[in-house]
Amino acid sequence: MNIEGDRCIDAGSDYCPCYLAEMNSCITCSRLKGKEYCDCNWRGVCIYQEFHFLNQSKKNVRESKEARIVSREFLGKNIIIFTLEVPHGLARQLKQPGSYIFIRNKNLESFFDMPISIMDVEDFKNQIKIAVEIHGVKTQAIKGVDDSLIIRGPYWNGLFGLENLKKTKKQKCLVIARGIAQAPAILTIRQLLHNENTVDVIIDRASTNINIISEYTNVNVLEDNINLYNKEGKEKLSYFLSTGGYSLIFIGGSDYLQKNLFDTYNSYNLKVVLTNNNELCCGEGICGACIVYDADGIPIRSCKTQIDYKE
Amino acid sequence: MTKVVIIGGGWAGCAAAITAKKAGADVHLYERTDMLLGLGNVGGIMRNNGRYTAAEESILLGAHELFQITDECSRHKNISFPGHQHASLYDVNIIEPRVTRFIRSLGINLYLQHRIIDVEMTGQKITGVKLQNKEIVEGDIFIETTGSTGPMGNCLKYGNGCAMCILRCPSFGPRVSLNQKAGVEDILGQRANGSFGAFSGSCKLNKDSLSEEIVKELNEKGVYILSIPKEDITFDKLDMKVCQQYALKEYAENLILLDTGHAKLMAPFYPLEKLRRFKGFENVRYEDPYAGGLGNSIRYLSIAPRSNTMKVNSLDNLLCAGEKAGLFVGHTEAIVTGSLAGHNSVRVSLGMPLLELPRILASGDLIAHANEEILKKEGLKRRYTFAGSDYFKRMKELNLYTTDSDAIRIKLERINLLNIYQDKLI
Repeated sequence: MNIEGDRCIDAGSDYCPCYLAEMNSCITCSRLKGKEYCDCNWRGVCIYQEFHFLNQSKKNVRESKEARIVSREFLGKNIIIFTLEVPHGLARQLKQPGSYIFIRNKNLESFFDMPISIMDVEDFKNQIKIAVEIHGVKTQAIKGVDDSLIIRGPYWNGLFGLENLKKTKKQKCLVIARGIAQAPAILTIRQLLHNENTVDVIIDRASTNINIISEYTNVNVLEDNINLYNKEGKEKLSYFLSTGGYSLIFIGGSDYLQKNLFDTYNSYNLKVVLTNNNELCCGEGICGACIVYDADGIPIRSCKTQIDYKE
Repeated sequence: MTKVVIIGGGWAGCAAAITAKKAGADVHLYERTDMLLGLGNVGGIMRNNGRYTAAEESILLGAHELFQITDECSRHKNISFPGHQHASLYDVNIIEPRVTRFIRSLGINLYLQHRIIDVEMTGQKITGVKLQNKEIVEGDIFIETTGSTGPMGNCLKYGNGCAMCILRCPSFGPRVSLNQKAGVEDILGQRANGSFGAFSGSCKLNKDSLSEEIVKELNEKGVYILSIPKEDITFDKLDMKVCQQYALKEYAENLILLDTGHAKLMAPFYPLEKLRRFKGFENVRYEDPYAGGLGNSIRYLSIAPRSNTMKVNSLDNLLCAGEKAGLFVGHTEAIVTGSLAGHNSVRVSLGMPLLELPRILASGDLIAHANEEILKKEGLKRRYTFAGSDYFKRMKELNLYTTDSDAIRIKLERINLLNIYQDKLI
């Protein structure tokens, strides 16, 4: 699979132009990449002009703030669902699928920041929900926290294929989610339902043994505990794809899962939406942790760039 | 059948589509906005000075259709204004749908709101062009008529920022230079002071916002001239204009309005507050660009190197026309170059010798002269138009200027080019 990417998720937002523009590394604008000519593909108000209006500087960056933990719910041994109280504007900005924030224990340094998908938003209550699976250094550090977390956001590039997702209307869609990746599937499902699509769901509980999709949404679950890594699971998926008449597929799960299923769904000419599983560290395109390379060896900062997959 | 793909639906692209179709090609015309004609939607001036000769030449070469439409849509014919004789002004408010319907009636495949962003190549041959949605449009021959104006970054870098002109880049996305994508670098035009690009030369005022007296005179005569008080006269603006045929002293000392359906103000931009101080202009507002008080679009930043047959150098199957093809100004120039490019596209596909218009025609001389001059440092600072400035002077010196159609007909008969664009080659 080849990849390509040139659309910055932040372009035209409250956070554009960003540090990358100041550092001559803008993802979108050729002039803010040091070129002497215009060669962009951005359909919106010119980023270069915006930069000029700001006297050749970036807009304000996202700042960390403390968010009160309204409640914690333990699912099984390792999963905690936090309900956090956040400013109203932030709740609203996090309502779109693919949204994520960075969280950390307030007593620890900023390098404990970890990206977590937004699972659900109740903007009239100013509350967001996130699901955290405890399995590494950073997640261990918040296991015992019950009063507040440091959060930074909003970030939006948690899914690839957002344009497909937003443009699909009145179609049949198949959502596949494995383990904790059920969390980003919830906002995805809400968006699909909002556009009057019908949504079928296949859940692979993996080691989590949870089905939060049924708890938070009202959709048709075709399978609620399938194993997508074995032959039987893939055969079932094949069957659903061949009979379902779907026009869009969402796959929430690891790169390994996405690659593993590629051959199964690829022949159906579906619009594809995938979770972004790259290592996100700063979220601003600066640190380089999230960089992946296209076929020409051009680095793509995947924390901000929408990526298309090609055969 | 040869598939000709034309990118850019301005006057040049439309003209190319028509001649390619008449020569027998399967023609596909791609335009990124929701209207054909591009800047022709805010232009309107035809047949002034040497453009009269060029229009008649094109008609007799067999590309009469678009001139017939502009003639039929003219609000005023045979009018004079400073430095210009026998001009026609077409009505910008009625012409575009006319042209669109005509293009469709010929069986040309028209794709509006289809922006081309890249090329696919094999060696020096373009095999396809890529749409914004990443779809590939394959073809045998490609004609680039994407113009040289914008996108917004250029209008900021070399102008006063986006003034919200008819090209509507924020809505429909930026122009992309395809020859550049194909590895052939753009040539950039310059102003007298050496800086790059040039401002579009006129802006359009909403006619209803002018006084009754001015509207009446515009409707009757097509022209309204108001002298500017001495303290307000600036000559600087003349240097920055694209349209050197209007960069005359009279255009700094007077406000010159032409009736093209809007009131065309012959200045690249004019601060609204200053404008409203003039009698009859108290309520005036801009129609195009919307921020005409501030600036205008910037042009000539994307010219493809080409031969006099309109074929782009170093590429096997790309032709160009209009502003993409040189430091040309105006609809007539776009139609003249577009018609030649469209006709030659079919010749390229058949491996025939390409048509070069001889220099005894004003059209042939303009195309060849502009190509010679663009190689010179000073030549990059000039514009080439039948309508005025250095080139019209040259036309008169070389005895190329005439308003006598019969004389042109005789010339074309003598060189055996009469109605050449009517020939079906496939």
